[in-house]
Amino acid sequence: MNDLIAKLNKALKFGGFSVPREGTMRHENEAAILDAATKMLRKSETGAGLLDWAQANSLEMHVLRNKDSFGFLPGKSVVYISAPAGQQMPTVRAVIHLAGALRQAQQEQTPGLERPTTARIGKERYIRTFVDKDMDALYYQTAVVHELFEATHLGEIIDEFERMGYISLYEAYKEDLRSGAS
Amino acid sequence: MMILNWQKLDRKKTGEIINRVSQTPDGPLFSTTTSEATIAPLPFYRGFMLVRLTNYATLPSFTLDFLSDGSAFYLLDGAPDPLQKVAMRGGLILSDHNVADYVEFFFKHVTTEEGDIYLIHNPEDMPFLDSLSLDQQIQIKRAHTDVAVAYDRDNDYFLVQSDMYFAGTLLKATMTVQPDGQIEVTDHAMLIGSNGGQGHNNGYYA
Repeated sequence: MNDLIAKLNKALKFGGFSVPREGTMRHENEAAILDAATKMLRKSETGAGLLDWAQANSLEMHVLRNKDSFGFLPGKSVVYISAPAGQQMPTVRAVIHLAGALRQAQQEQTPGLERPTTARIGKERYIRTFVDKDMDALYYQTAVVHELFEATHLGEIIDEFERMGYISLYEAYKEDLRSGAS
Repeated sequence: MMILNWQKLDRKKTGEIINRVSQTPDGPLFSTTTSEATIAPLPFYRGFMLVRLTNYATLPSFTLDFLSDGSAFYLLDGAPDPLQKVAMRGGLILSDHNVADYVEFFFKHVTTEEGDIYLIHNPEDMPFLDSLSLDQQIQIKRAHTDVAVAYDRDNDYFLVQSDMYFAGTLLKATMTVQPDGQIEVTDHAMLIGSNGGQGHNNGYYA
């Protein structure tokens, strides 16, 4: 417990690291985070497919200084993941977030999953589209987690998915594959 | 719990803020057509406000928070340093009445490698309460005390006592808050033990 409080106090302390220059929102460890994440993502078939698609479509990938989030900026062809400043982002977290962000970008070229450009399609259909997009991205993240675990037996990626609240999806995905194979 | 009074800015002001803050080597992350700027005063800052930029073109919507005096914009990026910068510029005015709000704000915008930190104002509002056993839920509600604040004149700092959640652990913690906004946990005890009973302390809550 005292170790935990020591870690907490270290994180709360002012001036604990060098602040990136003003005017940039990019994380100081962006290159290292992306390098580790893309290398690991490529070990999964689904992840490799997303990376190949991103390369073919000249998508940029960035790590922003922010609390955990990820997404796609359609006007800029930029996918982003985020990590708090001054912290190393666990690679397994970066991989899962990057897979989600890349799939969100890919949805723009997937019939039925494009981002609605107007709310005039009606509230119900507008919400339905965003729910479908969300579920689709989550399905890809689950596939990546499963394939990576099968390929590397890296338990941390399952732990991270559980921390994100999606372990039941992972179990359901695994069960689906098992019943489909039998 | 602090309730923020958000005000939406018009498109012109939103555009000005976007131009000011979104200069990156990759170009602006926000556009005036798909983004919204809102501001909220904070009770412990003088001359600085919380500015929130939201880009609704992304899924989920992309949000960045800043502290600003209208000319400087300090991105709240999960580290404590932006809050330090504002304090160094004389923007932080702490008192008995606002120091608990400051601690809550600080924890909301500073993240640790072990995860987020939550002050617990009301156990009923804890998002993870349902994941605990009924016995643990009862123990937490029994052990819970409201946030308490005191000013230590001899040492010139505030003492804030509160229940908090950090790294999967429920704690009763005593924090010192310096006039410059620096926070340190100086004493703690488990709010409940692993068996659901009240936890042991490290000397303070005897």
